[in-house]
Amino acid sequence: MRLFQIFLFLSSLSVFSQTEGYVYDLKNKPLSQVDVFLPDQGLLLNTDEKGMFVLDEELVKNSYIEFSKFGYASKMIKYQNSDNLIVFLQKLHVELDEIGIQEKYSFLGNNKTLNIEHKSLVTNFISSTSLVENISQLPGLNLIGSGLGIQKVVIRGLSGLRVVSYLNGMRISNQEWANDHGIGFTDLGLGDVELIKGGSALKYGGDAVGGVLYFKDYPFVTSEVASGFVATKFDNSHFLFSNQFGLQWSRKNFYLNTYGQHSISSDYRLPDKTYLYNSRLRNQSFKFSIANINDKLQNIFRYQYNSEQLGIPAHVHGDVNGVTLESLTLNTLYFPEDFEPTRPTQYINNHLFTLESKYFTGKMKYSIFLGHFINNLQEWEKHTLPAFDMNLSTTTFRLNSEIPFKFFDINTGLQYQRQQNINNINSFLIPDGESNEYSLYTTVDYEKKYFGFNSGFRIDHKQIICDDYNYNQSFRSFNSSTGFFYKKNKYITRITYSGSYRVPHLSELFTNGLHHGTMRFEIGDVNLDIEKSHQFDVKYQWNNDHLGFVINPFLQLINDFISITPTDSLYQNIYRIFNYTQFNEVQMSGCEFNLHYHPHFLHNLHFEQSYSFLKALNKDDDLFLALTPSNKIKTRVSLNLSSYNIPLSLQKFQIFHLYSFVQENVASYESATKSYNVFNMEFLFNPFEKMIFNFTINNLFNEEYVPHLSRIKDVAGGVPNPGRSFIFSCKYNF
Amino acid sequence: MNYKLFLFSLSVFFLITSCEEDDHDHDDDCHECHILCAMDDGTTHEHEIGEFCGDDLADIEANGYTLSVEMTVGGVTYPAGHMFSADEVCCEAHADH
Repeated sequence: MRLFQIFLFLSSLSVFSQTEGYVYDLKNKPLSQVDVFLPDQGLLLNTDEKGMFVLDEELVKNSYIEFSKFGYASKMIKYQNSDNLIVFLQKLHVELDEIGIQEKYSFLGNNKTLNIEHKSLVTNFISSTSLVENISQLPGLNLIGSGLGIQKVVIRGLSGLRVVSYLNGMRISNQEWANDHGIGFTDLGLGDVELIKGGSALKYGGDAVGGVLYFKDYPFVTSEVASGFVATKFDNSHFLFSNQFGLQWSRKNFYLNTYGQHSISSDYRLPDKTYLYNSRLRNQSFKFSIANINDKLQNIFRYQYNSEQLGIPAHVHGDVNGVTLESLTLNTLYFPEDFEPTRPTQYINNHLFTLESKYFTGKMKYSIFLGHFINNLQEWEKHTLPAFDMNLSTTTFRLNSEIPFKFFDINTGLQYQRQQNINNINSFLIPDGESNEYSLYTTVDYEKKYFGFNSGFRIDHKQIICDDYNYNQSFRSFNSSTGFFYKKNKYITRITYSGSYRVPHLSELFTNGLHHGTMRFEIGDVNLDIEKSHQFDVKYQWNNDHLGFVINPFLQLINDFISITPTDSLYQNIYRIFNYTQFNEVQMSGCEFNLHYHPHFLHNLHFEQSYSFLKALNKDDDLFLALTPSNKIKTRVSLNLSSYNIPLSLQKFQIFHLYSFVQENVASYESATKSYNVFNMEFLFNPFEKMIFNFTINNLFNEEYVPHLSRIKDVAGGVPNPGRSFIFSCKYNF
Repeated sequence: MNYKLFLFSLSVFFLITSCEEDDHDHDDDCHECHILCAMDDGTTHEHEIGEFCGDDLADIEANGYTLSVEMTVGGVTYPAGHMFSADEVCCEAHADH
């Protein structure tokens, strides 16, 4: 309540002033319904029929404004003054990549000099089965998991602690070291995600050897009459029922966004019509954001709660090949029982608090960020006591200043991060421990006409303390990144180098116990040292009005690569013992291709294809690295039908095809996986003004396949992914 | 505006009422339990030892199981009094319908 009063007080300090502008196409025709996004303020406006937008504030000089509308090239400007603020958007046929064509604001850095990819998540709930499945459609991305509940992102073959996830500026540390620990939040209230493959995100990138995912909430909107949505989804192969609501409201300088979600799912259906026992899940989420936005000062407070109860399917004691698929599956579902959590199950409760204050002067932008994330993870294999129950709390304080000049920006800041791992019971896998990390970073972005570069460094000093092992050690690391782009006519070339360093995690140093989620006995190593990565990334792009392509080769060398590998020993003659160890050198190399074709005779048709090839070698023995994703071709054909008068107002029809190559480049103890094809189809209807219906068929031909990154690919000879599924979803905006 | 409030209230209602909390308290439950016996061929045999409820279930899951009579599984004989540790006892449900 006190916080609310402070916001109202700050709101009353504002003086009436206004910013307005106009958006036209190249033929001087006003463009309505253009999204006018103010990233510094986290605020979204729309243009009216006259192409006009209005903000009841005078924007500070050098504030960013991003203009976007489907079918047009988005544009970003630095605001100077309100006089003659007129922006022209170019009609676009090919939306291949953001650089040069799509100008976008990126929290991770300058998206011209850095290889930053964006993906909108606004329609994720109605058009995708899960957040991670949607993101993994990007080239070079995969997911590791088992069913809908346990899923995490893999970037160019790297995952877990090497892929750092940020949510609204706060690092999500949720025991992400294990493959049975998912992403820790849902798509609720999210607007989009930014992605950097590799360690170039210096502001956020300590430890991010594999990459950074930066998730952002949907912006605030000006809406004095409360607006929002209710949405529901049903997936028949998981018997998933999911509901979301959202509410947005504003008055003067005060803004509120609030969202809620409840999902429940039973065991998923395999292509042979049996059900994978204990692949069920439950999820409850709630979040709200409140903001006070004035011309020079703004404060945003966010809270998010996410609770998950995730079944751990295909649980086996001992030899994973000593069981049959029949012993892991149900022939029918018995609804009174098969939605209920059973054993083994993970219980996850996450609380995220963030407070961000920004202060603008005409020449400088300052921001103070304070975040606190609490992750409680309980893993229950027995009915009456958990195997472990631990709280991991992360507190972050970050001070950042941005100094914009005419052709270049300087971004500098410092960060303090404290992590504490506390066990709530005597039985544990990782002992109590804590870490304190101090970081300093500076980046410089230069951009003039056809040329630009980015350069920066980050220094981290991290102290890890664990009393159980009498361990108190400090690590220092120096991360750096340099990249430049050159644009000429229809060609764009970008070259980036990033050097990143990852300090060993508590789990890698001190784990010692039976981990039922992975069905193995894991032993850490207190002598592990810093992991070092050097990545070279080249991106070449060409496009005209109807065709575009991107070629993106990369090479990453990782020294002292920390891995968990099986030994010949068994614990109690049943569970395989795995040791954490370090390889001297690992080499990841590959290439990603993107193709976007848009025929002149049918402007509504879009054909997009991406190719991802990856080779991961352990140079110590010239053998392949375990859990390297198979090479893939991803194809999407999209037909926009909104201009036709089709029954039920069919707006869009899409086909998605995934071809996964055979993966025989495996570690000595790992099994190979076969190639497979998966087809998905999607129909989007808009029968009423404010209502959207979506009908999707996933795995159209009921293909039986086992992804190479499935957590359960070695159990019973490989547990397949879900069979054909029909998904109905509906969203009503009010 | 009323119908909007109604819609919103309805969705909040469904959200809240459908959130059944699992307090993890299964003291009153009864479960079939097994002991894990490592076989010579590297496989693991799950030997059924009956149904356990309440305090008995909590005891066997926390402290393990002691054989009251001699038992032979896969050619291996376990004498009476042999102790199976808590990690060698499993009472989780299996796919059975």
